[in-house]
Amino acid sequence: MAALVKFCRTVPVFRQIARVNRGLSYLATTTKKTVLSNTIPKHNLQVIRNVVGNAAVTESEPRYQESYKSTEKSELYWEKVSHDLDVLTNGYERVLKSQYDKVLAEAEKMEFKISKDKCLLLLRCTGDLMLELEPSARAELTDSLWAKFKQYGVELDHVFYNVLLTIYLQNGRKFSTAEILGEMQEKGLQPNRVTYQRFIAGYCQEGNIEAATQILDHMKNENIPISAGVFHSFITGHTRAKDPESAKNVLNIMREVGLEVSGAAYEALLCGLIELKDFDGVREVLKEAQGVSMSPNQVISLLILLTKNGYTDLNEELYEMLGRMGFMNQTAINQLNEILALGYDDVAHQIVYRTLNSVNPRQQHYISRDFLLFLAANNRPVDKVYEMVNDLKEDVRDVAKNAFILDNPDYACNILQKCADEGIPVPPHCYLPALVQYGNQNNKEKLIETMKKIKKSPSLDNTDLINILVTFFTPALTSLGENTESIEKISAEIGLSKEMGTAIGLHILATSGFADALQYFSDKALHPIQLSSVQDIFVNKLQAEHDWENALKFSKICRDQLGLQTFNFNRSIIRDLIHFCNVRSDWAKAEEFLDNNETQLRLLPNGFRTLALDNVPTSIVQRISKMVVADGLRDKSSPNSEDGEEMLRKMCDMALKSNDLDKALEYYNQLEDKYPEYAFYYLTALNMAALYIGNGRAQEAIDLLKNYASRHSSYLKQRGFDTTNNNLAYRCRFIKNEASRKCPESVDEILKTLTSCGFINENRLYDAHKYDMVDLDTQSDEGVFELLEEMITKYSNNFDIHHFIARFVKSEQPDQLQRVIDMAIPVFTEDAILSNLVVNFMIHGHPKKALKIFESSNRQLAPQVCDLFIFYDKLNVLEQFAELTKDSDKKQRDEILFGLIRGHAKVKSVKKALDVLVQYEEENTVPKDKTLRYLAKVCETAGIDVPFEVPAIVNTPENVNVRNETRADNRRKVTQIDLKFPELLELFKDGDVEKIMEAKAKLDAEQHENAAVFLPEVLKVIGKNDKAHKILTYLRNNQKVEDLLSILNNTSYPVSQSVKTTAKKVYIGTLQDMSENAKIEEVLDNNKDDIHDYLSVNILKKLKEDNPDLFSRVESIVLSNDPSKMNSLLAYYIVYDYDKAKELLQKQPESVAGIKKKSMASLARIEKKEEIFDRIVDITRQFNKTSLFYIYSHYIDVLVKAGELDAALNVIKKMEGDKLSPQDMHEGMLNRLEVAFKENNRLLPWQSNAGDTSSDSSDSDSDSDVKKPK
Amino acid sequence: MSSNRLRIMVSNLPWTVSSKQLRTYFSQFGRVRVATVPFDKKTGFPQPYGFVQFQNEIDHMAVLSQENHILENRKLIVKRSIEYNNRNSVSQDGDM
Repeated sequence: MAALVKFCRTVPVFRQIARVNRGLSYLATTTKKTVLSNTIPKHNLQVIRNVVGNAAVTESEPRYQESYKSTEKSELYWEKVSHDLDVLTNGYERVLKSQYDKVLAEAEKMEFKISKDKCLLLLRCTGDLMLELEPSARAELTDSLWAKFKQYGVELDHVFYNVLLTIYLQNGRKFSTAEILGEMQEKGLQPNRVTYQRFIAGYCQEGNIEAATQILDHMKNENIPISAGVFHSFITGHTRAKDPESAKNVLNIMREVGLEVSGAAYEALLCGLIELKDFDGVREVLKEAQGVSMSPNQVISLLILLTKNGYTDLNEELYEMLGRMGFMNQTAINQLNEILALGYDDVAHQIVYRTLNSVNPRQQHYISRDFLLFLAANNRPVDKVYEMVNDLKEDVRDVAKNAFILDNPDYACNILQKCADEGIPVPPHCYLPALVQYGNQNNKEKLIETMKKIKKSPSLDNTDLINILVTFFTPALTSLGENTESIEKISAEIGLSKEMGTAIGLHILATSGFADALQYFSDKALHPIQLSSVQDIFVNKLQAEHDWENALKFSKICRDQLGLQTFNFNRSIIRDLIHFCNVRSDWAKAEEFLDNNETQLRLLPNGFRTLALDNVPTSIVQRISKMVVADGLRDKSSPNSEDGEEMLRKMCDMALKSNDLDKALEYYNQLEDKYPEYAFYYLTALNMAALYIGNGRAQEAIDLLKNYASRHSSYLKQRGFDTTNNNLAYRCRFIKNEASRKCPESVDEILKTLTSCGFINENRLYDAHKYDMVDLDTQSDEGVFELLEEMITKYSNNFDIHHFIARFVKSEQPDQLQRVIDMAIPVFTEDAILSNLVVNFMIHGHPKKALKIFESSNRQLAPQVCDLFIFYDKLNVLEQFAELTKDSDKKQRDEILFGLIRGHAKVKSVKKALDVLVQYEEENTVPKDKTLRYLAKVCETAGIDVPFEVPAIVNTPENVNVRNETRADNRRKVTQIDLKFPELLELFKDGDVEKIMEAKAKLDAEQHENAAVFLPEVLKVIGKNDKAHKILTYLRNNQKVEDLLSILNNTSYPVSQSVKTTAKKVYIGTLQDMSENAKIEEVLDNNKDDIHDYLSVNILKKLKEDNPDLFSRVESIVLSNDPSKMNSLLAYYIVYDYDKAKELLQKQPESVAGIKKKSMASLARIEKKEEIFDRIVDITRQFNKTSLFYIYSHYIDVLVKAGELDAALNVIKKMEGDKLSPQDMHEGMLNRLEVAFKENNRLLPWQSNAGDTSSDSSDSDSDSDVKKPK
Repeated sequence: MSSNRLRIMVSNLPWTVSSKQLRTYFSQFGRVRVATVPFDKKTGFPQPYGFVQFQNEIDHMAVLSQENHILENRKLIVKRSIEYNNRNSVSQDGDM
């Protein structure tokens, strides 16, 4: 302390500080952290929500902009810009002045009520991060920022001062230690280690060793740790004091005190020597420094300093050093800017040239990217730049891009010109940034010059030209204050008068509207354009202005003068008209417009088809339909007739939507009468049938379907057998659901009609229905599980899990319920299962349990739960549920109340639905717009006045497509698992193995971090079905052992047990394919307990052939395990070693239980020998008689499919011998069998009764205890 | 909707590539229906990505199956364009 006090006597202020400091210890100082307004309130996006009733659609935009300007928004904006700054400074170690200015302006707007971090970040930016400015200019920025901090009362702590000092040093700005200390003392701040270091560095830069030493001594006295940085400062200090020997000696002192002499120390010394022009000394020290690792930026610093001092003899050596390093850090790259700013182009070129060849591709990219930027930033001579960049094999045009980014269009254009001169193609669009920037600079002359350049470009075509003129040139000229006439004059000057005419017209359209554009176009000779150039502008303007009359006139001009097809315009007009009136529920405008213009509008059939005509009055639809013209390609029938087929179909669809059966029938009959050839109404036919069924008129539905099928059988077959036709499948399933609820007695017949008519192929729909009809309550627990397993394997999640859950909720068996859930979870979404549970618990009188599930799950179950209540017609339970969930969070509550409205609407009790609104009020929640719109629609259809204002539809992407009716369906499609690859979800669902593997290969190629969990995720999503098996088979065929292991070893996506088991078998199988015997042995030995998972008949067979020793070892392991785990071995014995099988069965009869009836049946297929089938039948008869029917029927089916009818007959005889009736077989199989026999002109072994399913089959002579799946 | 299946998204485009260059490049694989590179109207720069739609599945597959696409010394990233379009999936009168 004595030393410091002595020192301080020379500086008056110091005396005071020394006094203050006496009683304090720096090290014990705890700095009070300043807490500025870190917590910026989250912007409430709801503010933007449109609450005004009849507001026009366009109003939403200005409102949005208004809120954009509000404080809340600016805080968001602040977050964004400051974050950008953060990224820039951390990632690139540099910042642009413009970026800094932007953030600073924002900070000032907020009066610097920003976090301390951000203040410091701003301060740091004024240092050497800002490459583009001279140190002196940066120093000015620092000072002004510091003044602002003080002005706005930012609480400055010692960290601020440390950063300030650092910046001062970086910018080489001289500062007074005493002043700073004084300021700090005033604020009661204590200097810390860093502060002292900075002081030392400051004094050393001036060469003031004495002062620096004083501070050092003080630090020593106060036991403040001294880092290497202090020594480096002293090296500089000594050289600046022209005492190189002492400087060199510092290195020795460092070694003595045990500090490492690093590259930085040498850098300081070398720099000092260079400043002293002691180049021999430099050479010597450089040799000494060879053993020390210097970083690229240190070497480059030397290069810069050497060049500055005019000594280039060492450059070559230093280049080589750089080349040897094999890397560049960002600081070094940034130094290139300094070099270029100093004009040492060759040095920079050499550095880049040498390093590019030695670094990795990633760094290569960074170096060349930044080098090109710096070239542009420093306006290096064009010729020189061209030469250098070409030499580096980089794209010279990218320099121009950088110049544009730096807002320097002059330089960019010069570079582009040079490129063009040298024969490098410069596409016209490269000049577009120049148009924008000259426009912003109000530089008319250059703007025109650039346009001339663009015009000259050889690759410019007409569409491009018009687009450029409309989008860039005209707006730029207009912003310069040019009016139409002067623009025309300018364009004549360039030689573009005709093109410009069109462009100006479109520009007028975009800016001021149809009326003005029409006026402009009226007397002009126009230059032809493409439709795409106009379409966007046209539609945007139309949606903003709703000026249909003029839009129509405009479209006429487009047709007459520009030769464009204007069907799209017409459709847009009609669409906007309908939308406009629909929102306001006022069709007067539409009537009026149609009255005047009806005859001039023309639509293509497809355009008409895609119009959304919901809620549109019939009269208007009729009028619109008259506009449809014949396409020639699609519709050959009469074009303009009053009741064209498309229109009739559409009318019928609309009647169906409003459940008006009579009206629908009227249109339907008209359609069939007038257009016997027209077949594109199969969906309408299905919808008709659904409505019939909904009204309990099943027979009429069946007749209708049959009638359609007989008219258009070939067309229908082609549609029905198209597996991608989801609409059709969806409709058929819908019919099935309707039927099972409304007319359960005729479900069978309806389904038969659907399939036999060809509406849907396969028997999958039919099968699923059969199981739906099983009365689960009468089944044994095991029976239910078996059924569920079968359903999941066959249909994935295409069946109703509800019954299964209901079964065990009713019987109050929690364990079994858990099992159902475990089985269902791989294929159903968690939401689906949870909501099903909630609903079932509610229905079956366990409201507490339901509520617990509902509240404890952190998912938004409300919409699904409501959907289910509504679907099962449990409105009373839904009401009860709504009562119970009064306290749930707002979002869920809104959904529940909306659900109530929908429920009441479904049963047409509009009054009750309206009452729900009061409930909203009571609970102080605001109903959503869509809720109100829905309710309004409900009221309208019921003919009741809407007692509230209907909110308009705001054109935001989220709510444009909301359709209340289909929301639930869409939601069910989305899997709720937390996916690593959500974007591939669709791909997974398709289950196209090739595509999945393609995606996987891509991930591998990218070395994606999550590549390892990709396959497990896929399997998890697609669940347990044959798609999963396909993937596994693919992996086996391609010997992807790694991937199989990734499935087996993953923990993040619990793949379903059965898939995992299969994967294990496939894994062994693959190893066998690859003859990896050692590996197989290892795996089997390590998994003795669940060895049966790894075995299958084929694996065992191969094992016996390849490695009999291991086989017998495996045999003994399996035999010592639990009998239930002997299934694979037993199966193997049955097929290949029957004696052993018999022996095993005698000893361990339970072992047969391990084999499922399905696997048992498939055993017979392994080796197609009747003998084996006999064995299986024998065993089944003995041990598991209930499965006998299953085994028989499936085997028969296999034979029928293979066309071996003789063998099938044989089995049928055997079956009858077992007193089982083959006619009780699964209907699908039976059909197949009968068809096969008939086709081969064989006599059926029984009387056919197909089509006569109404007769009860219980009178068959079956006396077995087989449960037929009926 | 089927056309979306034939769409690819190309990213990492150099700024010197606009729709025309994109079309020219991908035409070597087959008939290109649409090729677009959006432009930023505020800056005049093209976006570094674009979309290409092919006339038929074979060409589309040919593009996707080729490992490297290099245009103006830049390795392009070519992906199947995935668009979630459920709007018409269950609509009554969807035209398949």
